[in-house]
Amino acid sequence: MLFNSLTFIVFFAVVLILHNLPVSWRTKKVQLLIASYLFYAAWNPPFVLLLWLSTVVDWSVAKRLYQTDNVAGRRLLLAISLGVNLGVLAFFKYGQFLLENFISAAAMLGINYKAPDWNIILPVGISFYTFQTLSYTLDIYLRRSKPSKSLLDFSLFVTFFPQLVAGPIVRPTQLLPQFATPRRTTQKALNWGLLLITLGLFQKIVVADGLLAPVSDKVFGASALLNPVDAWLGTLAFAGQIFADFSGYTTIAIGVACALGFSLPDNFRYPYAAIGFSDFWKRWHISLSSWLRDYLYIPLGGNRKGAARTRINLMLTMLLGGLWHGASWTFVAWGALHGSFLVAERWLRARFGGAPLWQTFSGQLMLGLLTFALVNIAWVFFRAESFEGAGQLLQAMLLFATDGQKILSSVYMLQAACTVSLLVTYHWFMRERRLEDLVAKASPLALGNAWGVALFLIVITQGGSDAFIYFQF
Amino acid sequence: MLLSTSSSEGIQTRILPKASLVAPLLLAIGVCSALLIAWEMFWRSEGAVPSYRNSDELWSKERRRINEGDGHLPVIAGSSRVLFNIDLDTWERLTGERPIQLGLEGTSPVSMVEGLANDPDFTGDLLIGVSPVPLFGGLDTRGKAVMGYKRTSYSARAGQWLSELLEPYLAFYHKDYALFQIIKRQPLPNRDGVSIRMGVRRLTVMDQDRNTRLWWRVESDPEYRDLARSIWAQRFPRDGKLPPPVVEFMTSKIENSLERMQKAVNTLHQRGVKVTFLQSPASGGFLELEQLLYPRESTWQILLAETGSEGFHWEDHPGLQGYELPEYSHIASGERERFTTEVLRLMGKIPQVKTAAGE
Repeated sequence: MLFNSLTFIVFFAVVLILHNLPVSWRTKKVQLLIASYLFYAAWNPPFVLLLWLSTVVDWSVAKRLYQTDNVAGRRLLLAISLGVNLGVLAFFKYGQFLLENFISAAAMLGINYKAPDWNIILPVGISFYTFQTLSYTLDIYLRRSKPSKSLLDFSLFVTFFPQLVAGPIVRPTQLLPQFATPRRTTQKALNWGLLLITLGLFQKIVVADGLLAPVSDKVFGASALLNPVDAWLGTLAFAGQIFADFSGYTTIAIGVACALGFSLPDNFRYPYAAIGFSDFWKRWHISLSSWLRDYLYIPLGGNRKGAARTRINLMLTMLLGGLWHGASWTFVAWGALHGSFLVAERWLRARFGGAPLWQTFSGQLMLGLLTFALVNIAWVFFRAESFEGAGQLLQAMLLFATDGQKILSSVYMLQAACTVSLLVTYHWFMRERRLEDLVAKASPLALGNAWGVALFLIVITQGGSDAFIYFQF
Repeated sequence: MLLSTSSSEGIQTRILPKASLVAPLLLAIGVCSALLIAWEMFWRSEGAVPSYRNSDELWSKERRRINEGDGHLPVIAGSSRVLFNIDLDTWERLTGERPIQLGLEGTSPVSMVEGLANDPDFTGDLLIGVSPVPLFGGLDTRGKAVMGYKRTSYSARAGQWLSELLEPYLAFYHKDYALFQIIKRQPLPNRDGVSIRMGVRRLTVMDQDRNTRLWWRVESDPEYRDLARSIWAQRFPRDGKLPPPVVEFMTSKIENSLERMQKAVNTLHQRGVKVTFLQSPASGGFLELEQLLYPRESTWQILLAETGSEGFHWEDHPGLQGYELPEYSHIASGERERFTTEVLRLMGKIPQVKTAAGE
């Protein structure tokens, strides 16, 4: 079920009413669990079985892991959890990719292997809930937490509908305790939740789908070599689109949870105002970057094993982060670029980081804009369908070819340029601020009017219930 | 979006704004409602009338009827002409059966017919509208609806049901009045070398079962009719010619379309389904375009011969001629009844009565 649909509005209203009935906390949790399964099944019912599989396996494995001190036994149990979770992910998400690469490798060896068509549908949000349940088992294996005492709470942790299909990827320690004790929805939390839902819908429907998607689709869908202006505007539009799309989803998820009395962690902190790439990854998809840090980068040794090993660990983490997004070498290239940027930044920071210029506002702004430009270069690989398409676009963006085709209308150019400029300016303005403080300081009149206009724009945009980009991951 | 949390023993608790949001929320509801009322009034003053949305989900819903007990009913497949020209009310009044309308604008019917051929639930008669450009040019404007109808999620079905509760009451709830459609068509001057075609504007009003007719402004508002014509004219030949690459592109799929259609119709014939082709009238630049790209001897006649089906071409039947075509391609709403009656008569669905045209 999509947040940006009439179905969800009705679904959420019903859930909200049921959740506020004077029934026991256990009944409320059962209602939420059923609602979460319905939420997922409304897209494709059979895939609920995958949620159950993940729930049953990790529940059972974690329990035994906690009771077992035998090292070999613990490793075996962990291998079972990893095997089932990553096996399912590999089959559904990477099966075709692996098959294609196998065929290519065979062809290079002169073997002409023809495989049957791979008609497997990718279950929505599989990467998100796989990582979430994995963190539960891994935490217990690493003795960071205890297993949940309630299967109901654990099932709800795996399937909690606000963040089920596109995060934030929540840690067991963040969410499970919230199910353990009764939580009451306050009027304040409900209203704040509704405001966040409006903001999220505005980002998704008006900014991502209405203002920016048509521009980026046109540029990334072009087969010809483009003019540098068109290439840059299309890429900038995609940068804005993917932020507004993903951050919009997260904001709605946080708002929905808040209205129900639960707290979900932040996933974005104004990333286009990042100064450098380590800062960027503290601001972009925070729940994934911290997951990769805690369960991959640090176990690999992090920065504790010398400079060379740190660089390797960074690259490995970012390459896998790229592959997490999609089964394609272009995503790996995107991860590799970010890994290289992080490595380069560490090297530069060690040598030139102390210069006074970087502490001034203009120095910081310069570094911020350089970061943003490089983030855009990397987005080309993320969005392009092929390396050929990415290469063609980069040729124009880096001015190796300046006589490409002009395809964007003046309306589209204005849409992209104005929206992205406003977005980046807003990120810089909010860089060290909090939305809650801004809202608290705003006059009720101004806030009410802005809220009303945002709702109006959402309605008249008449969004076509386009899926969120991150659903495919 | 930066939001804030405070951490307490691993549990994240959201920090809520200190100010009350009750007054802003009530004001927001008021402001939004007032703006929506004004927006609705504006579009009604522009002549807009509520209509069911011509969505993929609505098409899917009609298509699924074949598998839900209505497979014996006649089905209409094709593109915009058969969608806008055939009046389901007239058909039902004259034959006692209301057909399932599956026409999709700008879309070749080949995939639809293939789907019907592979669907044993379909046993009714099939009328296939032939709009030469979509059919022989292999256009696929709404192909997503045809290919994806089986995978329509329960969520999308529920969304369609909810949307249909609103559609008959809201004039602004039409894709032509969506905010970014309006912004997109603003006439700003473009850079040299940038060629942007005007998109097709609103042409129709649709009922809940996709019974469709031209919108009154296309027929009665000269300014709007001229706009509709000028949008089509972007595709018309100039001085009887089109650039060779356009001709090559537009004619490259004829053979493939004929081959696929023949295969699908053969399967339908084997199942005892009666298939009839219908080519509706066109005029002006549209007619010129079709005659240039798809002369009937290399398209229509081969289609009938290869599929072994009966077909009615408007040029051959006086009863299918002489209609008002406000924007060169579709029959005026007031004339759909006569046209539908003529089609049914030719198909032998109603008694052969001598027409005014003497046929």
